[in-house]
Amino acid sequence: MPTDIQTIHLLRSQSQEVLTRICQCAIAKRFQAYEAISWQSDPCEYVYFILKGEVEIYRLSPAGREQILDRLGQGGCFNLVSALLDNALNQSNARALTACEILVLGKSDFNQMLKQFPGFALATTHFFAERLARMTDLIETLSLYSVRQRVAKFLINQADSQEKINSIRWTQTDMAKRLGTVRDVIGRTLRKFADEGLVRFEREKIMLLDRQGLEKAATGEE
Amino acid sequence: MAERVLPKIEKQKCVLCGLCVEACPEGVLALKQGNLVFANPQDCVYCATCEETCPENAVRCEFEIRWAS
Repeated sequence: MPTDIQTIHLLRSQSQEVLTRICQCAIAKRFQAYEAISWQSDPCEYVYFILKGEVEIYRLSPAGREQILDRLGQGGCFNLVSALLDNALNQSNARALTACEILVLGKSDFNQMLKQFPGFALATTHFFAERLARMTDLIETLSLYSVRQRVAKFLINQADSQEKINSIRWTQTDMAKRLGTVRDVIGRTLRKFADEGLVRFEREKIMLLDRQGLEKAATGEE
Repeated sequence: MAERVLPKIEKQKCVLCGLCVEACPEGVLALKQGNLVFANPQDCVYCATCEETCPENAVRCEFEIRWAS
């Protein structure tokens, strides 16, 4: 049994029986940095649990523009939605951002475990509730907020979550894909924040200086 | 001493067009023997111009976002 299987959030409080079943049915696969893991619209065959590394979930427009839906680190899981739909296709694309080790569980094994282990099914329900809340938040941000507000909110959320999870790094291009805009606009917004004393650029770091100021920028109360 | 942080180059995406080499204000990058290399890494100021210029998204200047203590 992989020693880090209990780092997977969905499996944290599960019984030994659940953990044993996962290890019997799933296989651990390694992916190189930037390697594709799964493709949107391919038939859904697996669910994935991240043992090590970072994964990016994204969608593409017909013109090739990317929208990043989520970034997951150690302990995260993805492709569960598709696995619960009959004859479903993968809902999104997934790629490794760093070298990854991922536990790959067949869709039918996953569904069988949901039927057999109520605790696992309940944990999966909580997972979906959290994911739905995050996606709703993303929809609200993309639809109702200006780019300045989105960037401020994004910076606050990222800095707040850095303490809890392995640090995730963003390029300005990545931020643009996450926030539904283009790189130039992100660059101008960040430079303006720096001019206003809200952030400071250091090598490989964006240091947030003024929480109150950023929160006002995030809500538009300026 | 901590290793100097430099932009990351995704070699599988790089088409060796040389636009980043021309664009770099510090002359850090060069094309040598069929590879994009950091010829003068000590001069890199992490301005991310190379990332902005690359048409193939092959250059990444990553940032960690943190609260200043």
